[in-house]
Amino acid sequence: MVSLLIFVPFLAALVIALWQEDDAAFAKRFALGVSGVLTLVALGLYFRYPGQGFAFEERLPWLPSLGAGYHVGLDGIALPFVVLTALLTAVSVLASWRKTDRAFFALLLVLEGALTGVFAALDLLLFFLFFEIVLVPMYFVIAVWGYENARYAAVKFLLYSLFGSVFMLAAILGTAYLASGTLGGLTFDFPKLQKAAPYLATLPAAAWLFWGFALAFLIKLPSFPLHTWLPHAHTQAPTAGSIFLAGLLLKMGGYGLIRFNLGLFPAELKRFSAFLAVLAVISILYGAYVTLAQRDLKRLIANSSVNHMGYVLLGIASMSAIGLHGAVYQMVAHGIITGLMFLMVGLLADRTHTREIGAMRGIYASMPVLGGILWLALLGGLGLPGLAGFLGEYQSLWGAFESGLTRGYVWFAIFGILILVGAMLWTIQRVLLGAKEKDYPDLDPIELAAAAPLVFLAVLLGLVPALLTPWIDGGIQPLLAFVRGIL
Amino acid sequence: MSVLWILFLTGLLAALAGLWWPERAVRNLVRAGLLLALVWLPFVPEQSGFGGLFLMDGFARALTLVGVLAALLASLVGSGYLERTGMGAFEYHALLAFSTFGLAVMASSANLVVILVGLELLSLPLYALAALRYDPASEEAGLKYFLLGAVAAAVFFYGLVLHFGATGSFALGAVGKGPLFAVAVALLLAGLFFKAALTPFSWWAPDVYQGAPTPVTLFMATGVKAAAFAALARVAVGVGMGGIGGAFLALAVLLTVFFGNLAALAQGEAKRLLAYSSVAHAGYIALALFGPDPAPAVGYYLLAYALSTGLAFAVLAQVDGGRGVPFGEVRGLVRRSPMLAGMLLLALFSLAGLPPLVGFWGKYLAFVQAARGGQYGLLAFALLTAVVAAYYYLRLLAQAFFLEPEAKGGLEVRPLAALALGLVAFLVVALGVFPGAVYGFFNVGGVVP
Repeated sequence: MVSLLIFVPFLAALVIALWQEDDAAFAKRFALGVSGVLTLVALGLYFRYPGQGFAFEERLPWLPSLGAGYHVGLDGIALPFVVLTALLTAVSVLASWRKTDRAFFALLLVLEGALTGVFAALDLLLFFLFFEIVLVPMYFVIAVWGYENARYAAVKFLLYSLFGSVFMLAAILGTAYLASGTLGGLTFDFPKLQKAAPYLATLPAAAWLFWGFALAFLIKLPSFPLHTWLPHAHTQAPTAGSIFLAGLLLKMGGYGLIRFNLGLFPAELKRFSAFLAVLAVISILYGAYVTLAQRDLKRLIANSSVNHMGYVLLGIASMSAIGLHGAVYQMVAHGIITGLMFLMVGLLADRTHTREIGAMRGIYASMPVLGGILWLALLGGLGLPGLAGFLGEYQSLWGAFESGLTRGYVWFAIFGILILVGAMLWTIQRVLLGAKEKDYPDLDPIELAAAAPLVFLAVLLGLVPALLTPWIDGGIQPLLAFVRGIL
Repeated sequence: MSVLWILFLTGLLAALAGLWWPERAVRNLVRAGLLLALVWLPFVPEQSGFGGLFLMDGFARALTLVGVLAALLASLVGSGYLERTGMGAFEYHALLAFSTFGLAVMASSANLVVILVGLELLSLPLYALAALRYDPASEEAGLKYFLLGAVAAAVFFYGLVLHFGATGSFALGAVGKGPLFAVAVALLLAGLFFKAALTPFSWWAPDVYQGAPTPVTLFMATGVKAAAFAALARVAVGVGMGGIGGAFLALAVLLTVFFGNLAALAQGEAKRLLAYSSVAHAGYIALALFGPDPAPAVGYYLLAYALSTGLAFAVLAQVDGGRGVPFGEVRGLVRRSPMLAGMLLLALFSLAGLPPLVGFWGKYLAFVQAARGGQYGLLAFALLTAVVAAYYYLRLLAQAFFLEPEAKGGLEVRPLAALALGLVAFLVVALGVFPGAVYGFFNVGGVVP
């Protein structure tokens, strides 16, 4: 089933590419159908998850001579992201309903397949493969269909990512080769490598390997000071691209930190947790502060992501159950809420033909539905209780406070909340409030259909965390038990 | 032996037949001969002859395969270019066949004298091929290649003589020591660095690659590189990487990946850009020589590189009207021919080393060898430059995909050329997803008996 989620999108993209008619009418319907069905399949897997450890594993021999195999499987940490991937693909297709290039929809499907592969891969080489495949369609989505500086932003995005990737590849190879002695042979299989983690922890090279992985993931997350690609890429990407970037590509970073940095090098994570916590706090404060200063609405949301991802890093650095819960919850919530923000801002910019905050006023008065949803999303972004964003932030901070590793840094992070609340409320005031200046057409049914699932989830996950926390627990608890065994 | 005979007779027959038969017949003869050699190669038994002068081991077989593949591709995609530029057509195919024969000789020996003979057999037809377009740029390329190639051969010859003086043998693997041996090693390596285009002996490459007819450049960048590395690997392993040889090679790799990638950043001509990229790739291949088991990595990298660079040059050969390929010619390629643009994309991403394309596995194997050989500093530097490389590939790609074309109208691709392009593109992807499919063929033992 998991393989289906990975490879059906690739096949669907191929079908679109080879389809004879040159218009996008078929492409977008087909892409919507595929991603819609896959969302249901992913949801089916989600609710059939047995509640502990890895499930739905599939293994095939792939490169036996290198010790790499095709091994996929999902646990409670990966499952929410797999569902989110399928869902956000469907949302992105709906958000791009006016696009006339079928290649655009094919690329979105490639992205979906590759991202699912990233979250499902349990073989390090396979993971790397999907991690890299993601870059190519994203590069083209930004460069071809983006705004005025799209090519610059796309190249910056790609080079930053590749820079991180080469170090991750070196770390993957180093890990596999160093572990091969105790494992009796070269292997890239994640569960097998985990068995070698106690041995790896004793090596002097462990710190290098840890940072090889961490560098790639901190760039993806992104964390200060490696975040400078993000405002460009998110601002210049088309709406669907921004949804993918914020909703899913950033999550690759947090997911990777939990899966590989914590799952293979817990001792190193503990050793460097203070440093990571400092980075997280700077990201939280600086991200919020920079958000205040933005004039471009899309860029504002992009910068708020730096702040949001800071909580994720703080939760991971705490290495406590609650902190990790918070990190995962925050990532899922951020995917939904920021995806919604980018969707609304994209639709807004399509109507106003500008992203300048100064040029917009009274949007709520002229478009009550769009304005209302954007209002909800911005409130979600500042972490209002009752919406999904609150729980993640709260748990991250609480976990960081409870853990002796990071307690001293939580105090600073709290100021980040204040600044971001200010930034978001000020944005609501400037953009949404005020008298109507101009009449714009409100959301049409298709745009509303794109926003509806995200609005629903943002509220649902804010009120009923039991729909997500048991799953996260099923992934975190075995991981923490393993970590305690090593430390 | 049989493959050498096939290649030799193909060249000979093509040269004779060209006098009476039409160009078309010669073309098909050469293609058939190359194809026969290609199909025959995997079934050739490992053997040696003439008292060890001839050595068809697994390594020779693997690299000859890469070379023949490159020649076949150059022959298949070259026809349209030859016609557009009015180049002597039958000579092109006949010379190509002869050069391939030289390539096979060079790859199938661990004896320095035979390697030198192979080097000359490979090079002489190439000098003519480089100048075949009869215009100043092409003639300059031919002359430059000839002069520098002759110097390289002389340097190699000098090293060979000193090697004999130091060890009393022309066979690689002979043990020597002392300053005489050190000089011999340095000279032998320097001569081969020329052919493999490793900095600081790579200054000819950009000019020659740019000036030579594009299908010829394709062969130079792929087939010749394979032959040069066949010899380089044998020499490097034969003289040992412990002493001056290792230091010399490390310095060359450092300079190559640095200057190759840096210079490529500034190029505005596609062939010249790929020339610098090919210099940089030579550095990555040479990294594998530091490892304890270099043969599979060198062989597989060369295959991956030949497929990727071959595909890129094959696409350029379809675009090139005889005046080279400035960026303007590539501009908007996706509107003129989506198929060619798609193939260029595959080729360039494969060269950049992105999985799941074949180029990634070449880099993977080479870098693993370098790590196992303990060259961590060199490896880290090479990894960084590999990121720089992605930038210039993207620059070329951006021309093809994001800008409006200067020239109007579609591009005519001949059916056979299209078939060859399609096959190579398929291999770039298929061997990227399933690199194990042919890895066994390249996973051979030592390179020196």
